[in-house]
Amino acid sequence: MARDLNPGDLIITADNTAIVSRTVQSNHHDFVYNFTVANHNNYFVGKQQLWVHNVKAEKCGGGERGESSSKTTDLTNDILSRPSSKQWGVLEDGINQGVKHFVDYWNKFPERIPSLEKRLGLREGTFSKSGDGFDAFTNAAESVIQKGILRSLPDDKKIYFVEGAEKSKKGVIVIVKDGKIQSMMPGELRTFNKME
Amino acid sequence: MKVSGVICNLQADGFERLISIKLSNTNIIAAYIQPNEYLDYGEKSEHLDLEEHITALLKIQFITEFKREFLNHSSVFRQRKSISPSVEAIGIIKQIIEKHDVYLLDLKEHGDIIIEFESDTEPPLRIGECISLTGELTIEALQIDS
Repeated sequence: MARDLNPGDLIITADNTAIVSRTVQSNHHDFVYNFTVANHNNYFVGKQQLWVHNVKAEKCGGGERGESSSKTTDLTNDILSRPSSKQWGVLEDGINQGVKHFVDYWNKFPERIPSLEKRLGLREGTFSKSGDGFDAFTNAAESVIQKGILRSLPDDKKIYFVEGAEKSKKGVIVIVKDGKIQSMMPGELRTFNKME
Repeated sequence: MKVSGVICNLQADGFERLISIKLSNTNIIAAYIQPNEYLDYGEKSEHLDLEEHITALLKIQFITEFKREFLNHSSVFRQRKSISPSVEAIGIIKQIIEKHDVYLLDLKEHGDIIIEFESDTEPPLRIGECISLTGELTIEALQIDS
């Protein structure tokens, strides 16, 4: 890992070698991602094109609450194998919006899962972190589309709103584009009415 | 809670934005809805940009878990996870904004912040009560500083 480098270490680059002159510990915070390069797991990084090897996701401490990224990958694969994933849009780089939303909610926005369950009048645990949870998540989005107030926006976007089951102001918004679900989020009517 | 700082990271997804704001001594990450701008993957916002100085009014939303603390704790306000607006807070109820579900929480040195519960708090929280909670840090209002 980068943190294990020491002054004097030799690093292979795309066309030569480089020597570590000094190491600096930075307090800078930024978004980072765990990824795996297919097949050989090696790639060149940065302006100096340093040759690096990606550590297996489990070793990166990826995911949250001590959960490995491999579990997230298993969940992603499970979701993608389900017919419900076809109801979601796909980004230009091939990422399924359903997978992105569901996994992001569990990893980055954990309060949104119980919030959505509550607002939709569903029992706690309906949107479990599993393929079945994703199916229930998709079915709930479809239910909002069936029952919700509709607003049509430019670029073939449709947005739907349902009032909250417990408190009407705490509702749910679903966004559909080109006939595919893009997102489902907790939202209020005033926000829904401002969307354009 | 009003904060001022520089946008040091910005992720867009549809109407949603995840903004990292660099403050004088730390960074905070908060979610924001830009209702007048829908961005597809890779599109750049016309309203917000990196390095812009902003002032944001923060609140904690989507609170489904909280605990009444019977001893007064030191105030706490911190992110629970990396790259996430999920926060935990311990503070004292300072004001009842909407009975049962919206309150102003006194976080001492961190300032006051609006907190919004998903369900009514039963019995209703009282001014002076100490509570701990987890929720999502969101931007209620945002202004770009000139």
